[in-house]
Amino acid sequence: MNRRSAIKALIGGAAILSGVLPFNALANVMGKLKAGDAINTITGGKHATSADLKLIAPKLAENGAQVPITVDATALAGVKSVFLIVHENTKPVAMRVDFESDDVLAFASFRVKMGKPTEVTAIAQTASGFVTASGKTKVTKGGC
Amino acid sequence: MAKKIKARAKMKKGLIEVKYKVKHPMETGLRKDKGGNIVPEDFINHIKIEKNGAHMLTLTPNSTVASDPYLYFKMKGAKGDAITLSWVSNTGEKNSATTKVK
Repeated sequence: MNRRSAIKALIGGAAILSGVLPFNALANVMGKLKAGDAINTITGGKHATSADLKLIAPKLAENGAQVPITVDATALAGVKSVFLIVHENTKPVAMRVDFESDDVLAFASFRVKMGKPTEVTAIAQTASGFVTASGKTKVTKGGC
Repeated sequence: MAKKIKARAKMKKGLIEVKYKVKHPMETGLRKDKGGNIVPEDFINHIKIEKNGAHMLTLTPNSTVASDPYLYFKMKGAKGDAITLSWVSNTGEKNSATTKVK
């Protein structure tokens, strides 16, 4: 599996399942880059912090291979998608969740890998712009 | 080989709570096996969740999502709704599962 075929598979898989994705730059964002660049690419450099976006990440994670993360954006109106960025990972963008229906609450919980203690940022894309929330997690045993 | 999808969808406080555990190694392409060979990248990069055939969620995980991805969502609905999850990996492998809301 080389980079080219990986990207092809990604685009192919995405096309089969959901037709056209809103961001064409998605494949680039998912690769190896700096966390700050990833955030800027996603938000276009414009974002604000908000207490309404809740990022629930453990302060101390025992196992870096299974770190539970919860992003709760239910207090925000018109959330289209949520991104999770783990700053110290070589591929900082861990997950992107798109809410395709009004029936779904802007809430997602999943687990990520972390190599070392890192800052974690959640980005929510709302109708009126991008909102971020950050936290820090210490990892005693890396798993990336 | 088809990989298992464990699912649970339950009504709680008027909302469907959907929990998934998708069996998948989520290889990052950085790990080495016992023989010192690099294990190639193999991870789920697209997940679609539907309720009664209507598109609810699209997930784009990266290889940094933990192995055997555990997912948890909430959505509006009623008992008996059918929740479907389908995933595709970067290697082109795919699988899906449907569960009824209890």
